[in-house]
Amino acid sequence: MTKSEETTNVPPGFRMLAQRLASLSRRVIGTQETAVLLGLVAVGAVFSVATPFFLTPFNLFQIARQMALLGVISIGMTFVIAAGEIDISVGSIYNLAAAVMGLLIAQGNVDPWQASLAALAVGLVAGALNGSLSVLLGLPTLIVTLGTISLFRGITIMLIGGLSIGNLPDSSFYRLGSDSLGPVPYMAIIALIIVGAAAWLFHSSVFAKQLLAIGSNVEAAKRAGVRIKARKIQVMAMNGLMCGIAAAMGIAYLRSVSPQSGVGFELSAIAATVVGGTPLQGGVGTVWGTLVGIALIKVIQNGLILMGLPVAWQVASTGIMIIVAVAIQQLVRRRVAAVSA
Amino acid sequence: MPQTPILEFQDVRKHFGGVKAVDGVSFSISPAEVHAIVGENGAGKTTLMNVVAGVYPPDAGRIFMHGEPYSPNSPRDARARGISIVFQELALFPSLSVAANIFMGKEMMRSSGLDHKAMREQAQATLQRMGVELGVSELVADLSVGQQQWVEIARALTDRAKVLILDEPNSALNAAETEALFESIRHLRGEGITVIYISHRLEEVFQIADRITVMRDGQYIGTWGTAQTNISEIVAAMVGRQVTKLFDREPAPLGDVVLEVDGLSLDGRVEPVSFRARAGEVVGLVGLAGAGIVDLFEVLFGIRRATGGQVLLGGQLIDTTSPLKAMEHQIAMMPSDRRGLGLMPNWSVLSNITLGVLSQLSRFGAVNHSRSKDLAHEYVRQLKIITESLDKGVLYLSGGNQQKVLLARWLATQPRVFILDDPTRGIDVGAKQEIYALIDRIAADGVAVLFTSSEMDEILALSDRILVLRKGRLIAELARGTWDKELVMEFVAGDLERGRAMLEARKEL
Repeated sequence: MTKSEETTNVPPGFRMLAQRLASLSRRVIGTQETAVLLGLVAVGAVFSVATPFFLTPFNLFQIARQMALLGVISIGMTFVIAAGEIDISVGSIYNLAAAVMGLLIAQGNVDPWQASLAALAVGLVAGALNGSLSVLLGLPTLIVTLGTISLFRGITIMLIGGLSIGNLPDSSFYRLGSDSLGPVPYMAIIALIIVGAAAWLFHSSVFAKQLLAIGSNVEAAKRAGVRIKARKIQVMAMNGLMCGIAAAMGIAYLRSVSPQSGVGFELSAIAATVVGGTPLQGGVGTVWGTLVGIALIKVIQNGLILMGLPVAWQVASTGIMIIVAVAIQQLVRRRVAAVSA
Repeated sequence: MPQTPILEFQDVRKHFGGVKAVDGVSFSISPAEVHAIVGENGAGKTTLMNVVAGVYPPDAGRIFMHGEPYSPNSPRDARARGISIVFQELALFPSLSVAANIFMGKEMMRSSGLDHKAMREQAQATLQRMGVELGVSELVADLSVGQQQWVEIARALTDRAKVLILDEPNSALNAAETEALFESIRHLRGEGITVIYISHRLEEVFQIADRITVMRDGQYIGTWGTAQTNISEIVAAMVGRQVTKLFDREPAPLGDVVLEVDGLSLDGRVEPVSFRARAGEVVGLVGLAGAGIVDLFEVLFGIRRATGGQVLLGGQLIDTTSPLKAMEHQIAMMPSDRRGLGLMPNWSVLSNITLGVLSQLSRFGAVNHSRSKDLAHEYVRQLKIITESLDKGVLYLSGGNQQKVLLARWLATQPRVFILDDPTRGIDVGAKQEIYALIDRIAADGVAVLFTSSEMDEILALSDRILVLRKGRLIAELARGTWDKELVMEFVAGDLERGRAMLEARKEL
């Protein structure tokens, strides 16, 4: 029982240097975010060696386009998880919003630019519904959104049946999906603007701080004057809005609507959030971390496709990332708890 | 002591990173004695007991039990050797019954499954051994904190413990419950069980312990026979400096009536209660558990809704149906459970302090970071909060400093009425003094302070006026100079008529 003897054999100067480096890197971004960023760089390096096509501008901007959609949804998810809640119906909200927008364009002859507002509205309302049901019925959002996955998809099927809506008439709207400003795709720019605004909101707004309070200790938040119910509904609505925005972006990119879209989005959104450094219980979080998380997920998926590996690997990789990320988080929490006891 | 000590520590050390929690402790505990271990927060007593209980191994040194080397690999191991610990933080299952909790992990079986009847009977027997009356089928969630502690102790006893370690057992118990606990402890001692008692509450320690060991900064200071020493000597050993009086308050000049509580009631908890509080006044509320004090506080702060009566602030009728509304009327409340109901555990000091005044620190919904920093900095300075930086996680701070962080949060809201529920709970002696001084200053600033404490001495030392509650009724209001501990105790737990008679007698003097 003399473990301390082993550590004292390390020269004190070296130990101090290691501690200084560790605390410096911890302070620069934060253990988890640094680790994920390094992971991203490492994975990118591996793929660029494995397949020459990976590091081409075309491919990278392709990744950026794919990140854009998932990115917007994950940002909404980050706020929800930071508040200690979760929304597993995001794929269905996306699907429903896209379906409504597609219907308006194809059958209502509505201009896509205006129809996209409908997508936003549908997302907002769906999210608000999730939040309201949770608050009014006193149910955890996990349970409520478990139900609304099917509810929203059901509504989608009622609206557009089982067939895709394709061949949408041309419009300047679709340039958003296909064109670029210089070398950078418009989709990426839009997503980046949203992420930037969300990051600012997350770190500086009273709204976000109160959400984090709810996630950290809901009883204490209540006693500090936070209006729990209102904030819950607001964050779920905001998340729905993000899904609506993503739906509009998806239509701009694909110029069609599929009745099966959005499947598995919640997994990726949650993975990006958690891997990026926002713990599942909430209370603390980072929007930029989520962005890195999305990048990691999409880079891995892209790399695996380029290397010709089976689709199953992609799905598995996301799952594995979640497990690893949460395991690291738990280890860090346990060390913190031991020191502060 | 000629007998073999039941526990002997030889140069035991335990560190966490650079912190020497236990720094070369050597002493021994005799069998069948009640041995108290006292010391400020961070003295190392809980860490030492965690080592004994098998929660973690020591980094150096040895422990002997009955002369045999003792080094448990886990708490389970320790329990198998007969050492059980009851922690300050209760680890019960609220949705299960008392009996189920007592036997969790060691259920009694019969051929067809769990033997509920035997467990209930055994649980009943154990509780009777402790002299406690509690329904074994009651859900733990419905019990008071004091009663929940009974369940934890009963749990330890069913392990056939030879050594029972109680970590701050009576911080959540009232006077009557504490006395009942002591009765049990004496009874258990009579049966040959050794009880190690960790506590901050020296008065009670002197009532129950046979010997007292003092630890300070991870080191062993000394062991005294209770009969051969006194509280001042022990406090001096704990603190390293002489502390004679609890606190000397300078009563502030009283202003106008700020708070008027008129017939406020909460069904089943608080009968209609009426009283007033003036600016600069410290009103101490005292009573046994279940007296309704905390319920009254929660109603005033909007956590619960009153079923009758009204509240006036500055002469105006106010709506306190939510904490936010109470805060808008400049009422602040600090709960007793700072970890569960107060602090954001994974947040920094700065974030915890500014939480209550986010809107004041922001424009158009955006928080001004430099103003936040300045505010937090100011309170850290004024309250002398010891922290490496504003961004340090609040859990890294000692209990006393955590409490100050919470205090800062509420002071930042500039309240006119400040409600404090047991503000010095689980805090070391030095930090307590600082909190008393802060309460003094807050009153001097013209705030009406309502507070209660599980240590009656605090209420006696700090209050300008004392309100005694019993079973939800306000039964006595005592002005400064008319009380002493005996009188208050009489009202709180004794005979009401005698108390009134004593009061009359004093007034005539």
